[in-house]
Amino acid sequence: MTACITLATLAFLGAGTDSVPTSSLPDSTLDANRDWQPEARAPLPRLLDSTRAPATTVTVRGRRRASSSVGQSERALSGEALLSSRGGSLAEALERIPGVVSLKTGTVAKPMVNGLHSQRLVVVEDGIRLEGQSWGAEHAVESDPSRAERLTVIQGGSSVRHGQGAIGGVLVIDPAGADHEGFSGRWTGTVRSDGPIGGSSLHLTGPIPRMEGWAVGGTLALRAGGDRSFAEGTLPNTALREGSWSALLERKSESLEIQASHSVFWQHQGILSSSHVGNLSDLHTALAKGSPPDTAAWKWDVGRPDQKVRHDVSRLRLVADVGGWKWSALGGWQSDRRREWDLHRPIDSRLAALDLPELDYSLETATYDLEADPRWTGSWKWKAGTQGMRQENEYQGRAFVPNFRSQSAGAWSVLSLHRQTWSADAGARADVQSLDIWRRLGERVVHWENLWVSPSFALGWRWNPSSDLTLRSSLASGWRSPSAVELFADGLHHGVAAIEKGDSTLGAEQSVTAQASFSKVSTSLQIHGSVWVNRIQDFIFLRPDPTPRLTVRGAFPSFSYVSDVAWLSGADLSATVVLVRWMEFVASGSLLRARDGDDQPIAFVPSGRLRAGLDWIPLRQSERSFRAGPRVEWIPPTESVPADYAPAPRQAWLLGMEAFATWEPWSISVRGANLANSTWRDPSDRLRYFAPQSGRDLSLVISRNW
Amino acid sequence: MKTKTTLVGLTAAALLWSCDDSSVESPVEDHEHESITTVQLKLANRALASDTLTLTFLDADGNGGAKPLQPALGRLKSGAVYDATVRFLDQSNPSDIHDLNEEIGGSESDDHRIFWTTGSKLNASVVDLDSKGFLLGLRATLTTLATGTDSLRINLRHLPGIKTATSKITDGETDADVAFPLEVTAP
Repeated sequence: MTACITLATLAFLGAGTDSVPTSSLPDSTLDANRDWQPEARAPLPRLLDSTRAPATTVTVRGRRRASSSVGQSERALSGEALLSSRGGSLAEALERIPGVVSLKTGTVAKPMVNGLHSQRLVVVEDGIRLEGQSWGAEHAVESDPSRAERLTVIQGGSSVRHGQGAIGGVLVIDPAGADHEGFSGRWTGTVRSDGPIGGSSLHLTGPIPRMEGWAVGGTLALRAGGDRSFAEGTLPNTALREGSWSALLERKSESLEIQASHSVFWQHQGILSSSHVGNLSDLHTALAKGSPPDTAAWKWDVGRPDQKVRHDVSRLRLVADVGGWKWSALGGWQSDRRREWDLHRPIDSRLAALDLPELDYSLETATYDLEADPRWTGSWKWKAGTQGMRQENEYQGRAFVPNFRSQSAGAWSVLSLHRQTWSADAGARADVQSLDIWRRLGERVVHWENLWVSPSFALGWRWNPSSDLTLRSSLASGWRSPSAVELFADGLHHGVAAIEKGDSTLGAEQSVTAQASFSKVSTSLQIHGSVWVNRIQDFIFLRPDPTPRLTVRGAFPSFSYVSDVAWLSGADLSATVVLVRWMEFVASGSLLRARDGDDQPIAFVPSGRLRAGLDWIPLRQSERSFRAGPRVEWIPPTESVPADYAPAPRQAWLLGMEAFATWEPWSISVRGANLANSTWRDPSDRLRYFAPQSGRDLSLVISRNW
Repeated sequence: MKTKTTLVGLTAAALLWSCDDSSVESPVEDHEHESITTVQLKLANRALASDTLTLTFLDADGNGGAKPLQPALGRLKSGAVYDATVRFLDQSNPSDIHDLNEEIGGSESDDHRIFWTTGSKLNASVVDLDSKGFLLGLRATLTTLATGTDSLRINLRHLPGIKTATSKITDGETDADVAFPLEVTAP
């Protein structure tokens, strides 16, 4: 077997994630996500002399680890697993990673890592931290999963590398890059029976002719669907329209790499209309029904209540070799516009004719990220960098979130030691963040300002006692300043039929995550497990007030933002066992325990999940492969939380199936979810009171590579 | 604090941009969104012209913020029949008050219904109809049955395209829901 390793990509080594290649991947695209260090050579030959069919070319793609420490666990989704998830939302794709669940608001879903989400989870897309209106749990991540080449989840505090907000973890989205070698691309078409939802995405890239070192790339994706359904009927107003495009221009020379790109994501999404309630007695009526009315008719169009989102990101990246040091600079500009319409128009015909959204926010953010690496030879490595951000939020209409300007600056440094079988590192960071808020109170505009200074640290250690076993452990911190909503909310939050009141004296949250993980990769067994505990000081949460608030619409439950200590802990495990050459057993599971300051469970955080399945693999060649098998999923019963509207969901068993075939250059994936068409309620769905989850859903993904 | 904030601003903006005269610092007043601030109940004794009452629920700054002004206790005479009317106003902009009755009783009447609910001391029956001949509820007849305290709940419901002759208080969505405390005394 001739192994020809593409040297250009080896430059990124010292990188990689814990995700393990599934043995069905054709050798030619073997995605070897082992934690290589240039000095630790052991795993590389092992992969090359595997028992796979001979290949003429092995392309080794390295990835820069995105975590704050070598001791942190990183889990990734790419290749076949990611392709099978195309056609769904980003959060749905990430659910395949143990420990990650979706916090749902009907059909709107956002990822939850280690029980935390929204402003406690940083989302980094192509190096830029996505800044959206993440204050609402009913706001999905403003990114199109069809662009992603790889999704990586880092669990636990990661503020050293990612600054404020990285308490629960970090989600890294890597889109496909530019191809300098030749023209390449991928088309993906998706169809889902629930909706139905159809989608198509195209990615093309290649060098610019007669311009040495220049390459371009672009993507275009569209997705549309009608109302979804559950076992007994339609989920009214859950239709969806979504689109994205991106363009990339790149120039690479020996000492300088320049990349400019722009991406746009837009979404028009209906919100389950049977969940919209006018007041507490309406809520009780809706709770008593528990399901949408039988009369709800299926519709293709998106109706009210609905939300429209547009997110633009521009990036400029420079990587230069100056005086033997490697300098990386990344500048980003983002604009996020979110508009939400209530169920019904104003009674006044003049206002109704304007058709203005109830909520309308524009968030503009500029960021920079500068990193220096002196490229020390030897066992010691050192890196340092600085990051800055300036952000402005402006509203039209109801001021649920006031106008604000947020500015931050941070500097970090990581020192690491790499030996043959182990590495260790220590990182530190300092951040300064300011927040200015302007609120209109009648004729007056009131200005409020605050400043937070916060240190962060990360310590980690990695050990390879043998070539197929990696052990890691880390202790890392995270922090988050309170948001404008937590400080100044005062009004009705329609999505949850509650009045929320902020507290301008709230301080910043500080977290420390301790974790330990292991991964073992051999030809017959791939197993990864981790345990972690996260303590959050001054954890901000909504505590129910003793009495409801009276409004012109009647009484509403009222909640105030308070802070206290919170503890979250958990464990997860995933395994692939090769039983015989043509049969594999796959399983993954996670356990989670989350307690707020009152030692009560945190609402909508599920207690765990277990998945298992068998794969029949009659064909396992580099150009042609086939696998298919059943899946079963168990969602354990949910703990009751105080002041919940309805009893916690019962346990659920779900049946599914997955099949995947490659016939170069085509790939086909077929998935069946909830095949028994069970009626079940998801513990992490905030609209579970009003509607069960989707029923049977078959999806087909076809992909062609060039 | 001000100096520190400025320093952070300068550091962060050094590589970005600076524009401190931004509109972010002057949030706009919103007068293009509807907020029902006022529910007004008027009662007139059919037999006694001097026996009239106006009771008002007022939440000038909408949901949240300052607490609403609750209606005062209304005193009614026993054995009497009152002509009752209810008015819904948007007074969030004092210089441009919207009388929502115009639409509720006009172009929007087929999509709305006002339910009048009482305890045992009173009886309320709606007297006005929408364009399709279904009950509307901006006007009602209130009869006092016995002495004692009672409450009259006025619930304005939005029934878009689903209003029928048998629409119930649990159908559709609440636009306004206010309880007026009443006391029936011997004349």
